[in-house]
Amino acid sequence: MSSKMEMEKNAPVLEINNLSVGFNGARGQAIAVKDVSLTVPPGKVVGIVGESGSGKTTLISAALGLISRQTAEITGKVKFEGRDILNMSERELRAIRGTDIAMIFQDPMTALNPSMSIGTLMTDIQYRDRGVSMTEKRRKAVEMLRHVGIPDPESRLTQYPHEFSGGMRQRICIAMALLGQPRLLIADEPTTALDVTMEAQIIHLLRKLQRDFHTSIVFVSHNLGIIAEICDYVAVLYAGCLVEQGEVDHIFHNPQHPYTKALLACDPALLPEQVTDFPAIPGEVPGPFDRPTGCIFQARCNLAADICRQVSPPLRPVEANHAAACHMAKGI
Amino acid sequence: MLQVKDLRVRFRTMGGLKALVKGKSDPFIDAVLNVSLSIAPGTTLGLVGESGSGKSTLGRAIMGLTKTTAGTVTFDGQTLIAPGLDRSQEIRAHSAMMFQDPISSLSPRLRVRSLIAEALKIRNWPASKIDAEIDRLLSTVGLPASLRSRYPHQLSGGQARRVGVARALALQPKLIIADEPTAGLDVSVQGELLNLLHRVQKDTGCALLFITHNLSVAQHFCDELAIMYLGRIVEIGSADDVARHAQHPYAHGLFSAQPYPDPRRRRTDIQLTGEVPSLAQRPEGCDFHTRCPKAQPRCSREVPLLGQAVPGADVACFYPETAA
Amino acid sequence: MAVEQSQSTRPQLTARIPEFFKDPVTIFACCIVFAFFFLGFFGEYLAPYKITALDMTHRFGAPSLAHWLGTDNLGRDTFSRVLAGTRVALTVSILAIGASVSCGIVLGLLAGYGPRWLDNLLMLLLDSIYSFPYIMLALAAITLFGSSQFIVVLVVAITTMPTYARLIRTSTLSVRNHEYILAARSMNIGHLQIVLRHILPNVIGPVFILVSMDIPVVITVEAALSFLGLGVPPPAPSWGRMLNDGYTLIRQTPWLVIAGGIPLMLTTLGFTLLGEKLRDVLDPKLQVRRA
Ligand SMILES: Nc1ncnc2c1ncn2[C@@H]1O[C@H](COP(=O)(O)OP(=O)(O)OP(=O)(O)O)[C@@H](O)[C@H]1O
Ligand SMILES: Nc1ncnc2c1ncn2[C@@H]1O[C@H](COP(=O)(O)OP(=O)(O)OP(=O)(O)O)[C@@H](O)[C@H]1O
Ligand code: SF4
Ligand code: SF4
Ligand SMILES: [Mg+2]
Ligand SMILES: [Mg+2]
Repeated sequence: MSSKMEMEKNAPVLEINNLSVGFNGARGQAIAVKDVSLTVPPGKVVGIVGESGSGKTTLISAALGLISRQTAEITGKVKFEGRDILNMSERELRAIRGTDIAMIFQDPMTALNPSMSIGTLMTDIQYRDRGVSMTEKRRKAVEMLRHVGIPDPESRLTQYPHEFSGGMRQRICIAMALLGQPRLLIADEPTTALDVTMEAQIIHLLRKLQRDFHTSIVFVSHNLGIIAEICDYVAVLYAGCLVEQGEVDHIFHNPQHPYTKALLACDPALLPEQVTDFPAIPGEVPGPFDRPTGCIFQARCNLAADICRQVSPPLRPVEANHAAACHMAKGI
Repeated sequence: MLQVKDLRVRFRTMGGLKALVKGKSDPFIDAVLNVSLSIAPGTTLGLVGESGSGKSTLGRAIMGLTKTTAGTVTFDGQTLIAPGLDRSQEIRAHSAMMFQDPISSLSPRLRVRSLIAEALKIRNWPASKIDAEIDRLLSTVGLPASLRSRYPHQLSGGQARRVGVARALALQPKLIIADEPTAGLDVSVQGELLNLLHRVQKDTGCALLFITHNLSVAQHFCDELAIMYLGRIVEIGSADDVARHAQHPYAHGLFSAQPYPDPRRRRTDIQLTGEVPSLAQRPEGCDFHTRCPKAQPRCSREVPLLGQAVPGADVACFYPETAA
Repeated sequence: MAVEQSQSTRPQLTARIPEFFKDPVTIFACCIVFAFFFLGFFGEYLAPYKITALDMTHRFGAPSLAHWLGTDNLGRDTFSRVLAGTRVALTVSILAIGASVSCGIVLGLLAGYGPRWLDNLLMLLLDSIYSFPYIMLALAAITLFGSSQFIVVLVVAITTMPTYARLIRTSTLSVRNHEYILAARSMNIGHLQIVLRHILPNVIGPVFILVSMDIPVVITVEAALSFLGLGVPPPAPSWGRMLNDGYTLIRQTPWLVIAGGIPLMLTTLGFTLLGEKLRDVLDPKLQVRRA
């Protein structure tokens, strides 16, 4: 293999630099993502975790150019295989999405056109393969549906989204995303609607995809078990800020940011017995208009000191491949 | 509070004419088949099962939102749904449902405020107090009052979920059917929501049917647990028992397939493989025998029935785990 | 990617209005449409002559300072008649479209939300209306009731109604299976409320586009009917009738055809352009939006 190709192979697939997103509203700008930098290496799985409303969906939608400039102010840089996404025209973007980048959305019903049958949806999505016959497209659709565990796919092609269960819709979305054999797959909570046996099979399928096609995956999930299971790297978001990031093992076994620690401690999978009181982080996330100066987590942090209220902590390395944005984290 | 007996829901999969042409004598599927369960006031029944096993359909059928083919639903001592009888209005008047898709269960052109006000109005809340009540509900579910004027698409998944909860609480229900209410919530907010539901339940004594895929939540939150597979309940019992000593091979597989939040303890094998059979081609005998690691010849001939397959055990299997 | 294109429509209109009005084509279209409405309401008062004022000494006059667009075979001022024709065009299109939109919406909602048999029945009815040529309908109606503005409105309303009904029906069919409808039903909200509050706002959008595209069609149809002598009876100054007169008298003066044709053309152009621009703003398929 030539050195140039070698280099290309190791260049990050997706590179997000200082991305900020603020939604324009009546009361001014509501900041949803602030100064986030993130890279997705080729063939790796990057997990994103964080409080609901912390901006995970916004981050990945902005990174794909899905948020229009009229609804939000977007600053920063996003590069996909070296190409600048944020300055692309709608046509260029459309050419990339679906083939090179595929996305699985959080709410499967809104992602499937309710007035089209599954068969139509799944053949329409292959519109780029001009020369391929309709029967071939249908065959591919059926095969992919079987892959994601939809029983009896042939006869279900004529059915409409509302005739499927929530989990099946989610799997249909997954199947549609995988049809194009994308180089980057962005999955927003793809397995929440599935039972654990199915979840295990989907995870298996994603791993296989990653192995066979060297696909990079960005995986948003609230299920820490699944994150631990599939991810190579993990990024932790809190109120739009990246507070910690690193290799999966570091995050789970040596978390440095108080928020990460608190989040991990809330997982009910760790509870020994039946409880009436589930662990939760006391306090509330700061709203978009009352973001404090200094550390974003200070109101809920039990280590908070004076410096935390004045200076916002930069993301700094705590060990190899592991960085945290906390004044109290031990640096290197 | 709620008693369901032998409930059955059938869906037509193709038109009568098309079925005739294709030579299919039975163009129906049983999404829910002979399900019986009961929930006492102030308790929670968890419903777990593979996706497509009919959990949501069961929930909808109880509310009278989907037509039932057979069986009865008794609410507060009165039989309100039975063959030829549909008084489900009275069930809906005293219950609330939380839906699976958080954003799409909120009407897209209505603001959060109107969405909750609508629920209050239907319960004849005095107009002058609606505003204050909305604020109270929003803060109960942990949402800032500034969200009042947002449209559903301007909410994150978790925020939309909590609006759904606020709306359900506005209905002051005796029965809550919660369809995956914590899907899409982070573990901390999920904890808060579960604590909230606990509190509401303690205060109002409402019964709760809790559909979920999160086994640890099911185990820790519910009093009783029912496991569904292909439209049937295959095991039912106290949550702790089912979770710790699952007897049905499917339930057993479920609980042992749980991911653990530790990258050093990754699962390398898949416990339960194979396709879930199609409802249109329900297997002969035990529904699970196509995937069951313990299947015997008998399993593909006879249907194991709950409470009868092994006398005294609430499990629909001839060879349950502990008995083997 | 189809997945993201088919995201349901929740346009943030407020954000796009300024951009909408920046486009010169839109401004042009808006000007024409505004002028049309303005002249429709006030044209009569601006007209230099009464539309029935005969001046037999000035027949077939060419444009002059006194008669900007010349005069017709009876010496009536063409410019005044064009202005007054705007009123006829406006009245007919507003009445006809208003009637057809309201009936279409009601029937479409009934067909889309109601029981299956009602849907089938209504669709059968609508399809048969749709396949019936309007000229035939007009001829039949006029032989029965004589020609009047009311008949023109009725004919146009009946023939355009199926399009609206079908449009509403199709969107209703796709909206009614959404989970939020189920959620509303689970709260015991009545069917009427569901239709009015939860369905109508989500299906009405495309109707506006269609209306602005249909107004020129209606004006043309009215002109065509009048041209054939089936429309607004004389002496009302319809553009179509002026065209008709113009053609018979083309040897004497070309100005009548021009005077009847140009406003017709401009109005059609204005509304069509506006409709297209509106579609660009409202149509889900052409917009990018977040998940
Ligand atoms: N179109 C919008 N206009 C205004 N605010 C918005 C809009 N979309 C999202 N937001 C706000 O931005 C913040 C981040 O939302 P986002 O959907 O990215 O969260 P998330 O991390 O994906 O949460 P979840 O885990 O609940 O899905 C939230 O506070 C949300 O209310
Ligand atoms: N309206 C309908 N018409 C035909 N089939 C339907 C309809 N609604 C549901 N089904 C079928 O009934 C079965 C059960 O669906 P249901 O939504 O109850 O599953 P579920 O257990 O809630 O699954 P999930 O966990 O994925 O939400 C599925 O096979 C589904 O395809
Ligand atoms: S910087 Fe201070 S307030 Fe912020 S997380 Fe660290 S210790 Fe807590
Ligand atoms: S009855 Fe047989 S096939 Fe069914 S679950 Fe039990 S052992 Fe498995
Ligand atoms: Mg999200
Ligand atoms: Mg469901």
